[in-house]
Amino acid sequence: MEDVSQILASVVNGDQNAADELLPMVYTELRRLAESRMAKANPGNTLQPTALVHEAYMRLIGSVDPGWNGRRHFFGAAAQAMRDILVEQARRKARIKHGGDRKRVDVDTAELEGGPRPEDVIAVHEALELFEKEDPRCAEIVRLRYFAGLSEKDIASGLDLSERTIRREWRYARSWLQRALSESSQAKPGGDHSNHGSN
Amino acid sequence: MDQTRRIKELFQRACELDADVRSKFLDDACGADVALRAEVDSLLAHDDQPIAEHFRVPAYAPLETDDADTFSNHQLPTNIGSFRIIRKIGEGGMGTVYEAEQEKPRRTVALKVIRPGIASRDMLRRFEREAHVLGQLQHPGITHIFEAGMANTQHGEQPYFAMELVHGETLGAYVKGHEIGTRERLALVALVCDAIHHAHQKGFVHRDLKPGNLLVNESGQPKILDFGVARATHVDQSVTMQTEVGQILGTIPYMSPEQVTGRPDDLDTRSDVYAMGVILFELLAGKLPYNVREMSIPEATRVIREEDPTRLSSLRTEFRGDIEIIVARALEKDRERRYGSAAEFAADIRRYLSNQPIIARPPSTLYQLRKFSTRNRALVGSTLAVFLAVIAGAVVSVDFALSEAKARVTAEAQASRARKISTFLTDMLRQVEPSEAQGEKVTVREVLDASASGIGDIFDGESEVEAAIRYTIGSVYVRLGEYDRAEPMLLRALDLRRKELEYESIDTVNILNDLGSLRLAHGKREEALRLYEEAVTLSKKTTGLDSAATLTTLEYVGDALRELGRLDEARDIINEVIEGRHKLYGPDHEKIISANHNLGIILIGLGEYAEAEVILTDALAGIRKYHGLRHPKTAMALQNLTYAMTSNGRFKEAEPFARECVEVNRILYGDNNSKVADALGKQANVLQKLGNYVEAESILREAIEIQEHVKGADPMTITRLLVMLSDQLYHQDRFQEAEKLQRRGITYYESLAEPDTADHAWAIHSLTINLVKQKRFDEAEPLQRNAVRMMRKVKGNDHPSTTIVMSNLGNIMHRKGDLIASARITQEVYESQVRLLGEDHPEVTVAMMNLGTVKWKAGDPGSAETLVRSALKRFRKERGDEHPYVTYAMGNLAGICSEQKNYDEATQLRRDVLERKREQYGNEHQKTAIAEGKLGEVLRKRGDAHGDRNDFEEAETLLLNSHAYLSANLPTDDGRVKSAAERLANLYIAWGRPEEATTWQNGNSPSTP
Repeated sequence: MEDVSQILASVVNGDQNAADELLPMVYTELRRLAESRMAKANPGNTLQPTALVHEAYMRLIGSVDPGWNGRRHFFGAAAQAMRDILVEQARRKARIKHGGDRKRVDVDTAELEGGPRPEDVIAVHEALELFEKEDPRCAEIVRLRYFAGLSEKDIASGLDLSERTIRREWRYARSWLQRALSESSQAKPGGDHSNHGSN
Repeated sequence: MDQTRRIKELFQRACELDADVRSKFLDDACGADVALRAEVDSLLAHDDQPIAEHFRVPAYAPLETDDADTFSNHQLPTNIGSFRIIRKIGEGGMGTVYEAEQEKPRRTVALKVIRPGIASRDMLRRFEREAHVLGQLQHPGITHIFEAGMANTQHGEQPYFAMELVHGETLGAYVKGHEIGTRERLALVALVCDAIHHAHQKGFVHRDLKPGNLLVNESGQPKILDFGVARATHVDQSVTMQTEVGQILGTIPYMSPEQVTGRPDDLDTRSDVYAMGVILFELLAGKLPYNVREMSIPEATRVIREEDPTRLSSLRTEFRGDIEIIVARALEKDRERRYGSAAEFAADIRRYLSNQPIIARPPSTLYQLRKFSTRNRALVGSTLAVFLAVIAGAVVSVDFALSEAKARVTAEAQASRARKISTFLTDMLRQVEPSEAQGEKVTVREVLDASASGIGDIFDGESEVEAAIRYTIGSVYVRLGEYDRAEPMLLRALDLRRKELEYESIDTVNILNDLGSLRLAHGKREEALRLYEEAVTLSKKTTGLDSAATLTTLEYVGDALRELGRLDEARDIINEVIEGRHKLYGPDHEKIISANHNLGIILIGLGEYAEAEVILTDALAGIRKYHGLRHPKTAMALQNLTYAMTSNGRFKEAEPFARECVEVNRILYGDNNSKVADALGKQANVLQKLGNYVEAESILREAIEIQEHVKGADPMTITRLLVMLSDQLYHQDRFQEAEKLQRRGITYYESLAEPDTADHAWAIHSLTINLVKQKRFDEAEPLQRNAVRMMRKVKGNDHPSTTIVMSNLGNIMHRKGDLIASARITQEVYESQVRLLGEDHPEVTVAMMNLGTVKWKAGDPGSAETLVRSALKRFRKERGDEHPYVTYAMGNLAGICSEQKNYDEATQLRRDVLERKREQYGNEHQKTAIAEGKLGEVLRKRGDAHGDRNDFEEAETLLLNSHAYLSANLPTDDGRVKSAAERLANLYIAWGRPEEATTWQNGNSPSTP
């Protein structure tokens, strides 16, 4: 099996095939790790994206620094995978909550005290889809921060920008998403986000 | 779209302003655009909101084990298998631990139930197999596993362990809570080691020793938890390495370097020794040997692998001495240097406690020095590794003493009956010989040619005279490099001696010797050796064992052995010759000088360049004294000294000798002689080292031209020159041209009966460097591995040539992204070269450069900086400021500085690099454009760090220039064009100009620039 480090190196060297290979590898690894953490036996156990991503990083890449471009690709793939996993988990929980499996209701309610509500995860995910169309670069920061749980420092090192810039971008993204979320919760159907400016 | 960008920009500027200034700013900025103002305001309104739950980062609050307890207690199962559950004790990544009561035998146990999500089908099977083995672990220091099995629960089949229930506290808490002193702490650790050793002997490695796994019970007995669990469950490595969910960060400080490299299969008992070393350190100092808790994982693993641990005595001075040494031994990065077992570790602790001398020794000064130099020097700029390639390829051809054979022939001839004719002929010929002519009458060779063809049957019946004359003419032809003309002469002379004259004669010895030289020149080395050996036998018979003639002939044998690569034998023979001559002539004889000269050449072959240079410098001085400045021997000595100096890395010093050598050869032999070609080859070699590829190329072309017109020239010599030429070509980015020559060379070497030669390896080496420059790493790797194999076979492992081909392999691995392999190879090359060539050798500088580069890429910019900085300094000194290696080192240093956020220096270096590229290539060149891009990028970073507009502005100009050039000259989807656009996007983001940033997003160039 090919080494992720080597794949990353090829990605950095502009090899599109390698880029296509990377995501599934990272995805599989994260998914596997996540599943072993999300055992049904322990409904109280929630995911910790940061730990998962870091663990996957260590397992797949080890201590060799793949360079900022390599990190960017890795973290990008990880954020994408975590997003899928988290959204899927949230959808499942939301289904259960809306009457799927009655005897679990209590447990889920208890669990939610610590983490975000599944609805919120889904809402952020949907708002982010809109935001991605509008500002893909800034949305990348959101994915890394919100879904992969990376610190500003990690993101800065992955995107090769200063932490200051990351903070400024994040602040904008947060306001934008915050607004989108409150609009959609106020006006449930047909929250229109494209009513400003030209397109 | 424009509007959106405008909103973002205004938001980002406004949100950094205080509320009072803010609305004024927005009034001005938005003017009458009410919609714009409303948008910005609405965003700002959300900016001030307290962060909603779901934007807390990380998005999901980590699970606290204790909290989990509180809400999951109510679903406590009543029974698991035959165990009655009493309460839950804890919960971790692998499952839940209960206090439970066993039916038979009746006892309270700790029941660890593995979470079903973790257990794969495979694991369950393994688990059953292993379950009974666990019972074997019976030691007071290990929590006994009573039983392991599978239980049917509401979640299906779940594996469980029933273990001894320990009432106690963790080792750390115990030590603190009971005010345990140093000696008792040490004794406790020794006890733990005893238990670990017991388990090791049963074949169990813990793999996850940490304070949380060490309890001390009420009677003060330490108990290790979970021994054997890792192996029995053999959960795939991720879980093994991380027994508690999300607590990998808590485990890392105790992981050994081999463990953090992520190769868990490679763990052995010494990893546990290491973990105990960390635990002991922590118990004594209250701190970890590496402060990794605050670090990111990649950083932490790097630190564990590469940095030295904190010295125990630097935290607590009372531990200086034995305790510190004991701890350091357990913490050795190289497990070979650690205690070999936990028992040894325990024994040393106890020796200390009973005031006996400990067995651990502090690292020797030598070892520490080596470690220091390893850390601070380094590496191999891949492309640079080329440089010795040529050296080993260009094996010296040596001219030998004309003197004795000639003198003797002359004497014999004089003694013959055809005295007059012979004397006449000889005298005439001597005019032609360069040694007599001193370059003035080389064209007199026409006379020689006439004489040779005119011999005919003049000497009919006078075989003695004919043989002597034919030998003399043949001999001169040999010395003139006219082998095709020489051969029939010598063969006829030999024939005469064999058939018509006395065979056992000094004359036969002389003929054999010259024929040997001729064969050698044609690359028929075995045949040459046979001729020389026959000559030695004859010489011993006719002149005695230690006669001058025998010694001379022996010297030829040494020569053939050298050519055959049997260098150790050659050295022995030549030393025998030198010794014999000392007895015969006393010191300082011309022949001793010439033998020393020969020894120097052999030493070059053996890779002992420094000694070779010393000997050859003396030899040159002696030869000049005896033969003057323009003698063939002087030319030869110059050539060999040039070569030794080049190999010894003293390029600037070698250059004048190289030039003089070419001049002397031209004077002696004319412009179109193969000796001139040889000398040109050596000169090109020096020029290449000095980075003057253009001149080296034209010189090599001349050399090849000459060789191709010399009749009977050795195809091997020509091939060698072609490969050298290819080196000059790829250095000038003429990759295809170079590759053609390299492939041609390799095909030639492959066609030989003995294809594994150093020249062959060099040709491959040369090709792979070229391939790497073209980013064809996958093709290069297997080729270079073959070159390494070949060089090892021919030269042995401990030879500079082998380290050079290795170095290139390290580079290939680096470029392929396998930094671990690359770092290992590069480090090894560096160490070998320091050992073989000495610290100050320029090849070591290249190794420093390479090592620095690998360390940088492997995330250790600190060590990288030291290495590259000193490499830069040394390159300047060794090769001159203009050398491309200097530029290369500057670029790397700039990258390292930038990574360390030392933008000022990085900027300065990038400016210098750009300046140099402009000078070398002009303004409109890809390399200049790329250098502009890099300077622009570092300016952007500096501007970003300090919020400096001036930097942004300068960066913008540079980056736009760079992009304009690259996009006009490269395909749109080329990585370089994309990254140029990417750099612009980053600039505008940092500058707070999102609108422009968007246009350059994702490496896309704007459609309408």
